[in-house]
Amino acid sequence: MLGFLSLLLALLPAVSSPDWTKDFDEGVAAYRRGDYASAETLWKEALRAPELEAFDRAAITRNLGNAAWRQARGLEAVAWYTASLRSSPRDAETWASLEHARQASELEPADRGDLTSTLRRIVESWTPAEAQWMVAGATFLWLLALIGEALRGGIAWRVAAWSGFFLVAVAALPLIWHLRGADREVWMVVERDVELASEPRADLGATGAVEPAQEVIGLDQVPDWVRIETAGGARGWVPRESVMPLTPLSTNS
Amino acid sequence: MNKRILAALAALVCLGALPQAAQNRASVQTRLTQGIVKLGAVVGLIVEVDGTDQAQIDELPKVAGLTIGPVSRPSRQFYQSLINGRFQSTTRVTWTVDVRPIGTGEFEIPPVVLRVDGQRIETRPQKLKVVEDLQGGDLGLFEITPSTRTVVEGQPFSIHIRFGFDATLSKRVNYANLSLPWWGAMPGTLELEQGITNRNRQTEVTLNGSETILVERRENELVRGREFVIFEVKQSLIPTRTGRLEFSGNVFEFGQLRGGTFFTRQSKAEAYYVVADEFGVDVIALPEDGRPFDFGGAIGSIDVRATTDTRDLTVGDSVKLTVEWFGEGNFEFFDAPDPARGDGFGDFRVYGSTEKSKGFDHRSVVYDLAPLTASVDEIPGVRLPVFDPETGEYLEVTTPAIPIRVRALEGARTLEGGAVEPAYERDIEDIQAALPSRTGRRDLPGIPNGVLAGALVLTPLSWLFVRTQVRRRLGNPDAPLERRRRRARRELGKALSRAQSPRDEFEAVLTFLGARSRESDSAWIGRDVADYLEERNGDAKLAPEDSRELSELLQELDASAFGEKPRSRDKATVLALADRLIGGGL
Repeated sequence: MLGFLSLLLALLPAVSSPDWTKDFDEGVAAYRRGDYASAETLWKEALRAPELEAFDRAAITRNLGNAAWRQARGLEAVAWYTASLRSSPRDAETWASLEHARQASELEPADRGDLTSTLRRIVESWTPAEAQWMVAGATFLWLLALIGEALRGGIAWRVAAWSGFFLVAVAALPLIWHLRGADREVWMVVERDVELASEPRADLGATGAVEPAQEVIGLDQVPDWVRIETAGGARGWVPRESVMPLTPLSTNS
Repeated sequence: MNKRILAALAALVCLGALPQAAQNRASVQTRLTQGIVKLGAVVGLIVEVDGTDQAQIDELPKVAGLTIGPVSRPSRQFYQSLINGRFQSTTRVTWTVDVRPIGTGEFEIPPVVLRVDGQRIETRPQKLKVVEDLQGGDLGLFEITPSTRTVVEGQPFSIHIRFGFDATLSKRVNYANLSLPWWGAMPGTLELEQGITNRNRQTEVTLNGSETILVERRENELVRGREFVIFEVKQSLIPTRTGRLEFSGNVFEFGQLRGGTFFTRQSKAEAYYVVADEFGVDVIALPEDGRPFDFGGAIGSIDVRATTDTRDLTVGDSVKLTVEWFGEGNFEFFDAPDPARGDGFGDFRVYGSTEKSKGFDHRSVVYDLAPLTASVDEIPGVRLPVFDPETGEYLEVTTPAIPIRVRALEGARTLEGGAVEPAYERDIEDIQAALPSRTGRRDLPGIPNGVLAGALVLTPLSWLFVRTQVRRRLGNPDAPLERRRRRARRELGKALSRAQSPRDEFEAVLTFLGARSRESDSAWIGRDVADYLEERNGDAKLAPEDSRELSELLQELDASAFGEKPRSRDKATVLALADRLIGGGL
């Protein structure tokens, strides 16, 4: 249940481990033996390496999700898979594992298939770097259209110039989406019946509750407690073991 | 047949509507106890109101030759009827009005006016015939026999009517009238159909002096030692409530009509009357004891048979089970059993049923079934709860089980031999055993957001700068003259391809030169090309030989167009020169 601590440490400045790839391989071997606890420990060690590529981070967090799943920690597995998709958002196998874990944990699908979910998935299907390159490419095309319009004029070039502008606007949506949450620390609730407290004390009554697997914004931390804000705007303190930080987007870009 | 269908439909409608009618709407009926009477006899005009006790007679009709009245005290009766499996309560008020003939003849008694539930209602007019004497009984035959004297409500019964006259009169008798006051007006009954077995021998006779019915002529018979001409008809009824049904006033009139022309009416030369015995049928309630919960109203002596369209089929195949009930019973009115609700059909899917045929003596229903497993080896019996009036008990009429063979679906697995159905379940995907970085996959390097923002700002600024410079130096590139100049080379190629004469080619070249020099086409006619190009493009790259060749080309085309000199340059040469001119700054 303390797996989230390792991920939290991975977000902080950490001592570089030159053998993180060895930890990864040993974790794979332990997992294959069925020693899920050891595999989890080794992968968390590997996750602390600061030079991790985003794809490697995605692979490690996905494996951590499998380890949590095999140890019957469904909500924690959901959190690991969600963190993995933030680094590799179009990984079909991770998506499949996430949806299965959510279904088995009696949660709504991450992609409900309705219009809102579909649009959100399209926007989130790009890493920040990919989103930046998309904007750059669209801007280049827009520039070509504008130069054509300046040299030749005419309706066709004007249409091309406006099309380039709209292309840039559409291509900028994923980047804007990422920038929107770049400065936020996103956590996920990994326990059921988690209640909000007005202060970081266990003897106070609850001021609200949060749903399991809900993504919340981390506002403050003290030992054993995290202050969060829910999507509905409710704020309060929750026990640290009931939430797990997801990989901040700023570390990927 | 149509009449039977209509009668059945009407009966069904009536059965369905009776509860509403009994509760919401009163009905009024009248009938005479006799349609033909001797002078001096008293006839009863019976007025019945069903469905309410708030009724009274407002006004009696007056007829010359008849004394109508007084009215008896109202008789109120309360009935409970079983309709559609539910008990319905009905109230009936009955008056009997005495009608005394004071002269012979045929009379029509006008409607009696009643006030029922505050509304004015008129009854149907009735016809009454008064004769000096009902003579001729020995010369005629009139017998009315019910199929049973006691029925339960809902049980069909028939009235067998047999009448005739001495065969020696057959040459003189040319009319017959059955006076049956209850026909079509018997309260508490639904009429079914007239039973005529041989339609080739049917004939019409007058009923109650106003309508006709079909009767069947039978073989002549010996009656009282004499040969008689015999007719028969059967009327079937279904009682809808308990009580006694009285069938009285039955008179058979026959004789000879004479005369009758366009100006005169027919008159009766001879008339004979035969009176049939009165009788009654007691209607009793269905017993409650032993009534099955799924009793659907089947009453009578009913038998059943069943057939299928196939007996060798595969799991899921449709099999049509045709069940036919026959005998004596109310076939048109009971609810056909639903096998889906019955026992034994758990291994079948019942898609539904279709009424194949329905009549006074049979009912045929087709059930669409499909076996669900290959273990099915027969179609179970279809059970119909029936009340048998003869025994007074409820019993079940069940079709015999029909053996069938059901083959398993090809490739289908069964539990035979202890085979275990494989069970599959979803699971998470496997771990990623290889690091992507080891396969050479690297993260896409990011672009600083500041660079992107700068590019986004600089792009429109660059456009603005270029656009301003272009317009300042070269003018508006979107102006018509500029667009014409840019199109000149392409238009020249097309024009030369279309050209059919040297003059066409000359004009094409002039158009090209005019467009490129932003002038009119005629500006190049007679122009000193060399001087012009030198003056216009002093610093241009146009080669002197190109200038000279253009001059020669124009002279050659001019000579060819307006003289006889043939051309020496082909299209490709002209276009190549045009390209060089454009490249040289023209």
